[in-house]
Amino acid sequence: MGTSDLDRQIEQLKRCEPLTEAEVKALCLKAMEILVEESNVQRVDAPVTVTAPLPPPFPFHLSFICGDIHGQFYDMKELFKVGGDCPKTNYLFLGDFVDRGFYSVETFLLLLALKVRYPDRITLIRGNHESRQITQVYGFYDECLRKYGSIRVIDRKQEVPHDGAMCDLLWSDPEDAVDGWGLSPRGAGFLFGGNVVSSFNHTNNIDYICRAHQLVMEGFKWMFNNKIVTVWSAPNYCYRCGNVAAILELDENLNKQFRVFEAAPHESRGVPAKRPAPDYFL
Amino acid sequence: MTKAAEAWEGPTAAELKAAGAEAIPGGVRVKGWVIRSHNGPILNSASLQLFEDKLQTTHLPEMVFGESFLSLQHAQTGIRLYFNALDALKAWKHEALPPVEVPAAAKWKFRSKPSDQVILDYDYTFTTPYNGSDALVQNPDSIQTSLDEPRNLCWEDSEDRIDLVALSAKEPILFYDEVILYEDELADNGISFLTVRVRVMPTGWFLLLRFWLRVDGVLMRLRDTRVYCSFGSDESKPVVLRECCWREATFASLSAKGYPSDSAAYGDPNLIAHKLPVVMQKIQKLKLPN
Repeated sequence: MGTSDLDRQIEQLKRCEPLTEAEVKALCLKAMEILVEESNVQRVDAPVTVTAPLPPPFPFHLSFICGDIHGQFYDMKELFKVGGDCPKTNYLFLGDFVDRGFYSVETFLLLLALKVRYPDRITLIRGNHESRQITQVYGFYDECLRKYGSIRVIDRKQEVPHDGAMCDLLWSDPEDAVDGWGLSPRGAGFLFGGNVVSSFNHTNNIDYICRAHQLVMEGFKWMFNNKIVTVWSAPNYCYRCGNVAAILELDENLNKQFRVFEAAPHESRGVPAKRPAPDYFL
Repeated sequence: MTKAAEAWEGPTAAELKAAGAEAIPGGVRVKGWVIRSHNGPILNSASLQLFEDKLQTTHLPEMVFGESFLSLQHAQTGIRLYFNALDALKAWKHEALPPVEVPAAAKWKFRSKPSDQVILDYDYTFTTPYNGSDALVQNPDSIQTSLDEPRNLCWEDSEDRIDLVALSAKEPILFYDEVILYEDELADNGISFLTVRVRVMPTGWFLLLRFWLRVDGVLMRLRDTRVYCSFGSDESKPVVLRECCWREATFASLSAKGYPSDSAAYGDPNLIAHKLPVVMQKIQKLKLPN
């Protein structure tokens, strides 16, 4: 797959036009080669310390950390308008690319194509929605079947197991009501409080944790005295919540700034603005 | 919940005129009733704090549409029925069902060390017995002589049934809306939502308040409240019937009956309601205030 092919595919995906099944397969294989080489703890450098800059004309200045997208393709385009195009801007996406929105396929393929084209400029990590079980219930699986007739286009390195570190990473949330560890009332899923976060940050010598996965009206939410922040990047979630979205910008000195953005205007997306059609419900 | 559907332009002027109705902002005025709805955004941090204070809890659904409401008010009698998230969550807090364990819980219990863990035990499914709020409001023309809280309305058990035949007639719809009051994705373990739909026709109005819960692999609950007012001949004496029907089933019991046991088969409560056994049903008639 040549660079020009890839660039054409990226342009096509930016218009929300899906690729052919053969193209998807080739893209997935290529992406696997890259992703398999990445380590579990993926190092993402701030711009100033990047060791292998692209040749001109790619001066880049900023990095952004992005939260959940959930198949809201046109809103992700707003995100790129706010943050700037990849590769001029570095991006770190915190997972939950798919499910619930109308365009999970196009959303994920565009991110994947960007990853293959600019592997050092975009980092994609996995959310709990990037699994077979969850996508079967919440939309991505059906969307793949609808658009390609086969779920086999997506290959996974591993299913999310029911226990162990990988499971905990994808299913745990911060919780105000506990200081240490808590167990969710669902009986599964850990909750962690301020003490746990403080000690994690201290042990790992980090300033704060940036995570996604939970909806916040303002697009981001700090907890535990700025020791952890939740970033949410799907504006007007499910097309009805009225929330704004945010991405976190880090400059070369790791100064941070939240860029808040709103949903794409109705006319620029595939779904018509509508009043609910009346229904003779009983 | 309704999916994206074809656009609806609302009733025609001729339909409104023929019914003696008038469109008003966010609603309709017909046969002595003022029926209005509003769909707002989810709570922001400040209003979330207010809800937490009022409800004395820090655990609320992920999406609370705190400004959204449906209101039906009858001017002559002072009857007011309304539907909102805050009252529904008060009822949730009061019912306080024990939590439902998800299938993965067995494995998690095995791993967790209870000694150094806090186990939260609030009802994260937000199951509510709410069937609407009501009040008797002062006639706007009368001089208000007391500062008492508005009186609640009185509902009496009834043998009557909601007239489904009348409701099946494809009359013009003068007003229609769906208002989501709250919704939670149960951290990707299913769905919980409370929504109210209303349709107003020339011969009456009808609403369906629905609580729907699916805990993947465990259980489903459907709590429906249907309220119907047939306009009849005497505008000053509206007849309002309320029918509550609660259904519940575990995935295990459905599977035993040969029904599918995967969650993907239970996306739309309309299609599967009949598979869930009725666990509570009551019909009440609104007693007109003197």
